[in-house]
Amino acid sequence: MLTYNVPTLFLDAYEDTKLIVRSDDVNRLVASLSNAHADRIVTIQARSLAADPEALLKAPRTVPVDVVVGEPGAEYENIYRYSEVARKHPVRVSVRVFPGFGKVVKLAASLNFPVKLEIGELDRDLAAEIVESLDYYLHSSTLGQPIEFFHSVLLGFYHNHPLTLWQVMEEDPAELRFVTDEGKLVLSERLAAVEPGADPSTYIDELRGELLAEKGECSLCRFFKNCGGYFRAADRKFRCDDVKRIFQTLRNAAKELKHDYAQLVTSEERPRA
Amino acid sequence: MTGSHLSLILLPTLRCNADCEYCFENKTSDTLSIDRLTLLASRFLDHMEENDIRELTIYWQGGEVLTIAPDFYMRARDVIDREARSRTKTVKHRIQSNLIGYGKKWNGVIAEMFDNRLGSSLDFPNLYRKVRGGSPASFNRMWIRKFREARDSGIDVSVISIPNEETLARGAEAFYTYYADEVGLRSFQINTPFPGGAPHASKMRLPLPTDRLASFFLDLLNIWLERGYEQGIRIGPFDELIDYFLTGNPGLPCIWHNSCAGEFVCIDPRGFVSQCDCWVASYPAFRFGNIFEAASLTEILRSDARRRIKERPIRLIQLGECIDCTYLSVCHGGCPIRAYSVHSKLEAKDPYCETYQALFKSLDNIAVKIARSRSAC
Repeated sequence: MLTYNVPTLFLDAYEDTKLIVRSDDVNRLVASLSNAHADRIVTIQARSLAADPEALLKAPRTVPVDVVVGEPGAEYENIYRYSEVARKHPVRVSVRVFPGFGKVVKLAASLNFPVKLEIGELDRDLAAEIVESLDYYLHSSTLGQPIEFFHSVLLGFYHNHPLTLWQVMEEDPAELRFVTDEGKLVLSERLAAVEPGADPSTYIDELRGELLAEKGECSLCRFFKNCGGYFRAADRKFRCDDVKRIFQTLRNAAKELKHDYAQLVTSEERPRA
Repeated sequence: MTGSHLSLILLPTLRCNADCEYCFENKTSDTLSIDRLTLLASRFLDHMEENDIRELTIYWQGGEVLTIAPDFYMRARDVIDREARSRTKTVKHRIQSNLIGYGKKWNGVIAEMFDNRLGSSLDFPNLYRKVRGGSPASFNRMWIRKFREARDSGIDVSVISIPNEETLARGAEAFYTYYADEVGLRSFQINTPFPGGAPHASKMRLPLPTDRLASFFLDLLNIWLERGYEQGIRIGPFDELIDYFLTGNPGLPCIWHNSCAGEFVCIDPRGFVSQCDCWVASYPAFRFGNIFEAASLTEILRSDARRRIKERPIRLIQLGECIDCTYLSVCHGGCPIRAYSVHSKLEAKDPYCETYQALFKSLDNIAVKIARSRSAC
């Protein structure tokens, strides 16, 4: 069954689908959980940190809460208020990659929330900041929850079973669609301006086919099966150097982890004195 | 305040049979009656029901809890258990006592209500704990006698120790030897001292110098690792921190919780509600309300005073504090009462920040070594 990400306003418009319901207003999100379609809501998405989320504590049922931190100066320190919400609902923090987003990642992870990076346009400075967050993900001794997309990509390398960024970033149109605030159905929030074609569920396969047929960078890229053209969907001229470096770091880390684990197993099998 | 668990620090009396110079509580003769306790329990459990909180741990503290007759506790337990059962809630009880009033008449209550466990306090060297008219030395002698009686009765006694300037001068070796070898404790916890409550000469030199306290902690840590860790002796917060760095278990002391206001509440015998015993007994401006006067505990917990304590970590980040710290996830700016009692404002870091950072870094490294040695065995 498809999942639609809809504003609370359009909650009743999509029947026979699972729903991610979003709003800037926590009270509206709580109200949506009393709606006739509430049993189809799989996640609620809080898109503002300005208001106290206390109302979520009185929600009629437990549902995953995705807190989206969308812009610099978004009062990200208010994420602390969700530590109490987390006693009732599983909480994840989705962080748009903007200058300074690393502090949001750090605070959310410090509160033991899973984190998801949402990458839009990417320049060298932002790429450098992603690398800093990657280092934190790989080496912090206090991290207890995944930071996506790092975590799933790392596991993909570790198990030789890659998930594409489309899946990791929850943007695969075969599974999930986005309804804009104006009610327009689009591929995803990031790709709102991209024409989805007759059947959006085949969009990624078609894109991949086109990118490989171009016989350009993608056709030679060792990380294409991990990426699947995720960045070039929005911008065909996207420079992939920084992304490749991130993938390479994750690949090396997975290799190191595998090596360490193999050594551990060997030492455990060794006869003890 | 919602979730599966809540902790209540309940002060059934503010009366005390000791006269410790550095005490942060403003003592009175107020004591909770069973009638008032019944009302308190009912309102507290109403709040739990309203907010879907399933489990409660009550920390019975004073004043001094053993100045009330044992029968009070058995009746209190019956009242609380009855109220809890009717709402399908679970309640556990813990007790903290100075042991002065301990005798065999307490064994039944401690076994039945408190799982045969009791928390107490003992300093080395003792400069400030004493009974009225007595000396610190006579206090420790009496305490050790009572401790041995309790231990011989099968009670598991754990201890909180508050270091002072003389503790630092004598050093970690003497400290460890005293608790582990001379007294024979298997579990003790070190709390950092702070000048809470009414001014007193004993509080003038607080906080302790953070660098000297850090050195003391690190020396003690090394001694414990060498002589106590493998032998099952527990020293808080070392063992909790090792567990945290090894497994991610968040069971750290309350001073390092991301929101102590979300997890603890304290009520004194007059019904005043606040964050913890020091706040409720000595800082009236930070009381959240009175459980016997307000419509509900839920309403009391919406007070401005509680909101200020709850949002302190937010203010610290806004002030540019803590966000760049490697150990933000462990500490979150530390303890509000320690910050307030030293800086006279909430929006400040715990005065022992430097000490904690040294401790975290050291235990982080030790956890790595322990993990490596376990995997190499």
